[in-house]
Amino acid sequence: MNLRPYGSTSVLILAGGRGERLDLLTRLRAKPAVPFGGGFRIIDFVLSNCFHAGLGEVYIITQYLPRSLEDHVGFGRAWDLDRLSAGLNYLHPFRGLERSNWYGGTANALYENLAYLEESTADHFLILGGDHIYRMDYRDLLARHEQSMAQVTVGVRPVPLDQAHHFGIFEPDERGQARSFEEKPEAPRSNLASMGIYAVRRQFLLEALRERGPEEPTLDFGRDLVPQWVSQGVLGLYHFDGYWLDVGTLDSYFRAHRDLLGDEPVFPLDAEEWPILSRTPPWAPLHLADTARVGDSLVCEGCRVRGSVTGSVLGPGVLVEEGAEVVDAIVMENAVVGAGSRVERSILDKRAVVGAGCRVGGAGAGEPNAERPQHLNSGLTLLGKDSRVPAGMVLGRNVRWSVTREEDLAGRFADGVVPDGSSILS
Amino acid sequence: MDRVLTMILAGGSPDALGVLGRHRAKTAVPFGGRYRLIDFSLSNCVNSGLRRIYILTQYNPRSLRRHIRLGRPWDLDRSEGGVRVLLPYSGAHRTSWFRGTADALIQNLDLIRRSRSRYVLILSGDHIYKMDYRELFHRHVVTGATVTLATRPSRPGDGRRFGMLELDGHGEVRAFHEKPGDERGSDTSLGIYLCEREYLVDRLEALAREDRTDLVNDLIIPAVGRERIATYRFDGYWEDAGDLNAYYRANLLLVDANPPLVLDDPGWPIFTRVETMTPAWLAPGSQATYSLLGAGCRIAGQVHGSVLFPRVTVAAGARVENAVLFTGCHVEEGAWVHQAILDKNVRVGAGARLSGGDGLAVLGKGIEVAPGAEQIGPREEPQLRSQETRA
Repeated sequence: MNLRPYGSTSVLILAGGRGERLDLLTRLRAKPAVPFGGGFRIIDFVLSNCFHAGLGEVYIITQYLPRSLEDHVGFGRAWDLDRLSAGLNYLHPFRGLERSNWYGGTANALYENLAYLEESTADHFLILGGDHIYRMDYRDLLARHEQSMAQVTVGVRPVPLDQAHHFGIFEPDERGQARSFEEKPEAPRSNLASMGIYAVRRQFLLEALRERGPEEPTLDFGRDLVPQWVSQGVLGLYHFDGYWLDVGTLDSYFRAHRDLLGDEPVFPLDAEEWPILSRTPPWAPLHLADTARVGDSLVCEGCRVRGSVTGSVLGPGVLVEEGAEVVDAIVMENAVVGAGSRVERSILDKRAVVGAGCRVGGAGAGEPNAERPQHLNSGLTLLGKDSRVPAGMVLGRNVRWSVTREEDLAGRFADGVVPDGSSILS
Repeated sequence: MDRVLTMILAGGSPDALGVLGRHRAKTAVPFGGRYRLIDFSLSNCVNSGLRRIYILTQYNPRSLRRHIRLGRPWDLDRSEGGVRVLLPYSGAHRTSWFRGTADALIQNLDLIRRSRSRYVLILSGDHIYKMDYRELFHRHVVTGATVTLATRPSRPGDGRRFGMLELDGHGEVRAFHEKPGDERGSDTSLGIYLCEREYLVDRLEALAREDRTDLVNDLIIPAVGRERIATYRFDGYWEDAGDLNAYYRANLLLVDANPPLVLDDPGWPIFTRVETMTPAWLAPGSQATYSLLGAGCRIAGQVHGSVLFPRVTVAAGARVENAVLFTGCHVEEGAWVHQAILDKNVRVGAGARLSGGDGLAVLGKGIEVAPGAEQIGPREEPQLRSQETRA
């Protein structure tokens, strides 16, 4: 029996994107480093998939605000990637003798690192996005890739047709293989979306990069290479039907957290056979006081709950004071909800502090955010990292708030009311 | 602190903790919803800047070794120094189990002898406390003593369980009474000794020749009056958890709003090996109050005044009150668990009623309480009988 049905594989995780639609959450960090599901970060899911598939050579391609990501991932200890050979390394834009370029596109990022890729002895490159929530055994995809004649195998999955215009869409033929491809089509011909997962034979990728890289500083997989490969007939599809979510927007980020809740969650965080691994700082157990009322919620270690929490996900070290109510909210590490405050349909970034007697957010869609109407219109209110809401204030829906010092308010909102759709950034 | 070698004595008799100590070293007994007893002394070492640590053990070492491994969670997997578990081995000049605390050190005398450390800190691995050993060290250096002991002011009952000290006006030891049975002396010894290495090596060599094996009776007590033995008085929380009742009480103290032992002080983290970091799930309609919950717990019923380790499930309609449940326990629909300690993976069947009554019910690893069973009153049930389903 062949224990390794596919050849050796080097993993390239694209983690350099801006993630602009996540707004305040990606203002100070790359999207893969955004906290998710309590104490996890988005990139933990793809790194855990690599771990479970036994993939031990991983490059993370960074560009935008990499520090928080590097702090979290380090050299990959949590995923057993701190190894003597191979293991984990970062490919960040750098200055060289011949060229010094920022990355202008996903494939351009690889082209700029061509020398490193040429050094790799892997038979295949597995190119992954660092910002998707899913469990997938890459060994299945790689085995299929290896056995097929394809130079490239792309993971695909059906998405709701009304969402299809956000994705790269394949039109399948009668055998389920690619007939055509369109990136973010206005009129999608199918709902079969690219998951941004590409297995590519080594030599083929190197040649593609050498051929188009020099002339195209914004070379992109979805926009430039995939359509070419489809028309050349060298691209195969791998159909995946498990849970997979691109947490590209605030609404999808929020919805994904709903999927974690329930006795039989749509996407369970704790699957015994496929745990999600992450860096684990030393939190104490979760403390529930006599006055705590918690239901329909996930609560991490290190939290101290004295008030009530429903329909929410609390990251580690969160403090919910007595009389406070947290409803349908995502509250990240070390945030505080003060006594008697009500926080509803809101996302509190790390260390956000809501003073006593506040109201933050509310039910219903409300007025869209005036500055970001396309990103923030479903009623979610965002409190940025380290922001503070002074005691007694009332923040409406679709509010973006990142006031880190109360002085910055300088007498604004004398009545303490911040209306729907406001953006208050310091 | 890089001049201090630390020897943690972890070979002590596990009998005190009954069925909890049957299959693991006392130092590896779980505590406080997440930890094992050894985590406290080991985290104290790390937080005090100690990086050269040996743990001496011999009793059922498997769970301890599995817990410590190479010391990663304590940042002790180091190229230089780090942590290592030492067991008795054959091929030494003499082959035997550790016959006492001094004997354990004697059997590893070569390590102490060739260490370049000037000081040796000797600790017990099964005490619950947060101590900055740098303060003890400072006291030792300032007094210029040969040995410095950590103490606390004596409390009623200490004389039956601990060494009692009489001190002179400078806080140096004038008399040491090992478990005298009464409250002689002002201070209680906490089993923490900082020694000059050369002195320790000399004395251990002498004890080896005389075939003496006990650190307190054969080394510390004979030194009183001959050597200067200073003391460092500790006024924080310190608990020996020497029997099941003390162990149970120490756990339940933690659920208090202002517990005497703060587990989540960012300035003094208690490190431990983490197996899961999934958040706890509290279902709609669940009620959990006045309790500690570990990661990955799933609560649909009621929990009050209890300490739950990771991945405990409490089904709808079940009640857990004043209980300590180790990792992976399941309390099924409508069951009641009260005044109890359940070791790992105990399953309490639907509708069963389990209570220590006016005492404590302690169930060993993996026991299954049959659905509908009624077990009221103090009991201790070892793992061995776990396969029998009991009505």
